[in-house]
Amino acid sequence: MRLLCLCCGNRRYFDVDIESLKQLNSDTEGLIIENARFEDFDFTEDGLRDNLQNQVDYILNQTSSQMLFDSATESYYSAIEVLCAKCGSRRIAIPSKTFKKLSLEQELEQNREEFQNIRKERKNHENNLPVLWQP
Amino acid sequence: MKIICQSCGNHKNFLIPLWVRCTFKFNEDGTISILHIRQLESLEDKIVDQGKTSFAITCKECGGEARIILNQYEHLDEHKSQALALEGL
Repeated sequence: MRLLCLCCGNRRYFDVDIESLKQLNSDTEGLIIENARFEDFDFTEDGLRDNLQNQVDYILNQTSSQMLFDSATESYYSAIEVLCAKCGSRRIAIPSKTFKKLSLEQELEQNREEFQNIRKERKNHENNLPVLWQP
Repeated sequence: MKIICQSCGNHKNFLIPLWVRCTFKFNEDGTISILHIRQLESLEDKIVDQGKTSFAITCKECGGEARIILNQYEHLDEHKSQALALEGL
């Protein structure tokens, strides 16, 4: 799950506004607009895909200071123009950004046991190193 | 109407930025698929508003800024009206 609509629960379909580059051909018949094609690639198509990917990555990598807080659901939602394609809502949250309201000290304390288990595993692993071949 | 590149004189191929609304979906494997693209701007309005807004039509050949002449026969009309005015005098 990467994005979540806080209004309808949609997790899959979204709208985003991006800029694309089109080619304008000035002819005797008038103006013709089409995809900008260079020798070996379609610049409009590639640009559109790249811009969409960049925009989505940017939305997903926002910090909490760049987002707005929704007190009802206790989650942050994006301030950037990303819309739910189902209900049109602008309140799109990033589920991974639902930070717990714990201090760092409390969080470390809570996870101490898990961390110690990892340490134990590492020690066990260190003690069981494979025996090197000896002549 | 005529569009001319101010740098190289090209009058055929130009590039124009247009905002679109892209509907997409997240696939199970984490990739993105595009479902629909809707144009948000009118090309006609954008061309007519050239100079008023910050966007620029650029030449496809050299990347230079293009100039739009909405009525290329305007100066001929001006000469004609001046000639008629002189005749009237």
